[in-house]
Amino acid sequence: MSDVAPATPEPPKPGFRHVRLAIALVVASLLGTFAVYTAFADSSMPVLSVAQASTGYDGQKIRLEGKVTKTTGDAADPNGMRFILQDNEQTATMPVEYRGAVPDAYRVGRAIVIDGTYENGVFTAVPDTLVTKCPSKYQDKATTSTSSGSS
Amino acid sequence: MALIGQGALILALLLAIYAAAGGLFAGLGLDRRFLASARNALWGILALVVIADAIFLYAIFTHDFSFTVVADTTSRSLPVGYMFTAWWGSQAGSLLLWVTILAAFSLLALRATRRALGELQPWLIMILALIGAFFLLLLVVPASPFVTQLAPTDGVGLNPSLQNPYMAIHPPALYLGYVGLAIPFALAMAALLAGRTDSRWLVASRRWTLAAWGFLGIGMLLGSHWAYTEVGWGGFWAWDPVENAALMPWLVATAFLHSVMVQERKGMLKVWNLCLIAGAFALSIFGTFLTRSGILSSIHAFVSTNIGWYFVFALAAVLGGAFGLSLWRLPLLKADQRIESLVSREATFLFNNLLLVGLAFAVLWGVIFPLLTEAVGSVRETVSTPFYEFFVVTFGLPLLLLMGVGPLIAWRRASLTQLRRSFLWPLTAGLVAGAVMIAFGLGSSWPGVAAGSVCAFVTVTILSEFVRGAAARRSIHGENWLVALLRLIGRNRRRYGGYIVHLGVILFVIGAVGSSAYETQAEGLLEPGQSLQVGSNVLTFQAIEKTRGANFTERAAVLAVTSDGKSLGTLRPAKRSYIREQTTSNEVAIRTTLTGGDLFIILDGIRGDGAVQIKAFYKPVVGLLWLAGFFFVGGVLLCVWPDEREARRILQRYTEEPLPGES
Repeated sequence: MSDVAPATPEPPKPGFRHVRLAIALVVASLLGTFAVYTAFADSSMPVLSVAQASTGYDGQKIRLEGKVTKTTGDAADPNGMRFILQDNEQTATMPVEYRGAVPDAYRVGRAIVIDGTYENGVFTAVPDTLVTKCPSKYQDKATTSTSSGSS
Repeated sequence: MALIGQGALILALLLAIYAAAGGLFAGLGLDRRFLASARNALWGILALVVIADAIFLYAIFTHDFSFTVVADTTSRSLPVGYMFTAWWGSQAGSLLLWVTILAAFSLLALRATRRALGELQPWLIMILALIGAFFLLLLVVPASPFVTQLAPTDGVGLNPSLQNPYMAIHPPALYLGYVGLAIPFALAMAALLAGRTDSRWLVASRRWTLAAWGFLGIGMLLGSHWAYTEVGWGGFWAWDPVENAALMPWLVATAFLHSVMVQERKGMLKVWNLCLIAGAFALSIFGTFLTRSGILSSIHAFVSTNIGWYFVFALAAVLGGAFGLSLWRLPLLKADQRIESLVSREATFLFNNLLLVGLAFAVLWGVIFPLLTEAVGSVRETVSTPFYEFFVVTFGLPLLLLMGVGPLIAWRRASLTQLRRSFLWPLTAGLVAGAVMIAFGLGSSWPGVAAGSVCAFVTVTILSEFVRGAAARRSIHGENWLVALLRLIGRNRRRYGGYIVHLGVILFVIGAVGSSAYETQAEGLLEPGQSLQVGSNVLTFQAIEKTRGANFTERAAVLAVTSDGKSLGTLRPAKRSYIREQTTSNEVAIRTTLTGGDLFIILDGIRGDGAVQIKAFYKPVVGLLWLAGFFFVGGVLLCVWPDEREARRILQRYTEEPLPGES
C-alpha cells in the first residue's frame, strides 16, 4: 500500500492549503447564505393565541391558534365562511373570515391554526391556510383510566 | 390479559438492562461468558415483545375496550383491514412497533456481524440493549399500551385520515427507517468502545444505513403520494414539522452514504463519518420526539404529554455519548491521507456532504425556530414554505450539479485534458436543454430553467457512464449491448445502483420543479352550464350527482372536460360526509395525461342554490415524482442485494489490512 501516508504527517503541501481554504470558504458561504436569509428575508411570522393577537398586532400577518366555537356560512361561497375562535383558557374570542379549502377534520370544538391579519376587530384569513390540529381522539385519557397494575 | 402484556414489557425492560450490563462485562473482558448470556437476553426481549404485540393485537381484534388505547383508536364498525393499522394509530402502539422492529433488527445485526466483527459483539449488544431499554421504559411508564379502564360499549374509532391503504405502508416504512438507523449508530459506538476504528464497522454499517435510508425515502414518498391524492390541497409536501422530521435524518444519511466511500477508499473523513452517523440517529430520535411530544403544532402530532422529557434525555445521551467516545478515540481517528486537489472525486464528495448537512441544518432551523424564538422572546415565531424553498433551491441546485460532476472526476487529482474530454457532452447537453426551455417559453421561472439544464447535464453524465462501461465490456468480452449492460450492472452493483438512484433523483427534481414552477391554476364559482379554463382544458359544470356508500353520502360535481374542442370525458370531484364520524372529506378528481401531467380538481364547496366552487390545477410532469420512486427502490435494492464478489473482496482486504494499533 504505497499510497498510505506515513505515521508522522508531512507539512501540508501548497495544494492542500488551497483545498483547506476552499472548504472553509464553502462552509462560510453556506452559513453566510443562511445568516443573510434569516436576517433580511421576511420569512417568519408570530404564532399567537387569540388573546395575544388582539393586542398590538393590527395589520400584521400572524398565525393564529385557537378552538372553533361557532361556524356559519360556506368557505366556497363568495362571502366566505365565518367562525369564532376561542382561547384554550376560554377568556378571549375572535371572529374569523375565511375562504378556501376546509380540512376534513374541521368542526366546532376542534383546535385549529390559521394565517391572516387582524384588523378592525376581525381576523381576515389567507385562503387555504386553515389547518386542524391533532384530533381530540388522540387526547390522553390517563387521568380517567386506571393502570393495568391496579385493576 | 393486560397484566400479562404489562408484565412481558417489564420483564423485557429488565432483560434489556441485564443485556446491557452483560455486554459491558464481556466488553471489558471481565467475563466472556456474559457475551452468550447477553445475546440470549436479546432473544428473550424479542420473545417478550412479540407476546406483548400478540396481546395488544388480540385486544384490538376482539374489541376489548377495557384497553384504553384500543377504545381510543378502534370501534366495532372499523373494517378488519384497518384494525391492523390501528396498531400504529396510537402513541403506545407505535412505540410497541418501534421496540419490536428494534429487537428483530438487533438480532439480525448481531448475526450479520458475528464473523467479521466478533470483537465488537459485546459492545454492540450493550448499545442496542440500552436503546431498547429506553423505548421499553417508555412503554412501561408513560405510554403503556396496557392501561385499562371500565370498558365502554364501543370505541371512539380510528381517525378517518388513517383509514387509508397508504397508512398501512407509510408509517411502518418510516419506522423501519428510523429504527434501522440505530444499527449503524450502535456499530459506530461499538467500534469506538472496542478501539476498532478501521473500516470494518463502516463496511458493516453501510448496508444497514442504505436499507434504513431506503425505507425512510420510500416512507416519505408514500406519504407524499397520500397527501397528493387523498388530502387534496394540490401539493405533495407541506414542510410540516413531522415531514421534516423524516427528511432531516434522510439528508444526513445521504451525506454518510457518500462520504463512506471516501473513508473506505482513502481513509479520510473518519471523525466526520462518526458525526454523520450519530447525527442521523439523533435526528431519528428527534423525529420520534417531535411526533410524540406535541411540542410543535402539526397534523401528525399524537398528543401533548410529558413523554418529551424522556426524549430530551435520550437525545442528550446519544449526542453526549457519541461526542465523548469520539474525543476519547481521537488518536485512532487520524486520516490516512489528505485531499490533494479541489478537482478530485473526494473533494466533490466533501462539498456534496457540506451541502447536504447545510440543507439538513436549514430544515432543522426551520423546525426548531418556534421553540428558539419562544425561549428567547415572549412570542413564538414560525417560518413557512418560502423559507424552506429558498434553501432547497440554493443548496439543492449545486448538489444536483455535483451529482453530475462527481462521476466525471478522478480520485485524487484530475487532469485538465481529462476534464475537457469528460465534460464536453454533458455540458453541451445542459446548455442546449436550457436554451430549448427558454425557446419553448419556459423562461418564466429561473429555478425551473436552471434545474432543467442541470438535470440534462447530470442525465447525460450518468447515461454516458452506462454506455462507456457497456462498450468496454463489448470490446473486451465480445458481448452484445444488452448482455454487456446487464453484466456491467451485475458486477458493480453499488456503483450502478447508485447511478440508478441518481436517475430517480433527476426524475423527482423534474417532477417537483415542473409541477410547481409551471403549474397553471384557476378557480371559480360555477352554475350548471358554466365553464372554467385551466391550461388548455375547459371544465364545464353539468350537475351534482348524489350517491350513497356504506358509511357515507357523496355529492359529486360532474364536470365535462374538453381540450382544444376535443372531449376528454367527465371528472367527478366530490365531498363525502361520513355519517358516524361526523366529518366531511374532499375526494379530488385527477386525470393523468400521457406526458405525466395531471389535471387536478378540487370541489371546494357546494352552495345552497346548487352552484359549486371549483379549484383546478394543471400540473405538468408531476407523474415523474412517482416514477422516481421506482428508480429509487430499484437502485437501493441493487445496492443492498448481497454481493458475494464484494464480500470476498472485503474479506481479503481484512486479512491484508492491519488492525489499528497493530501496524
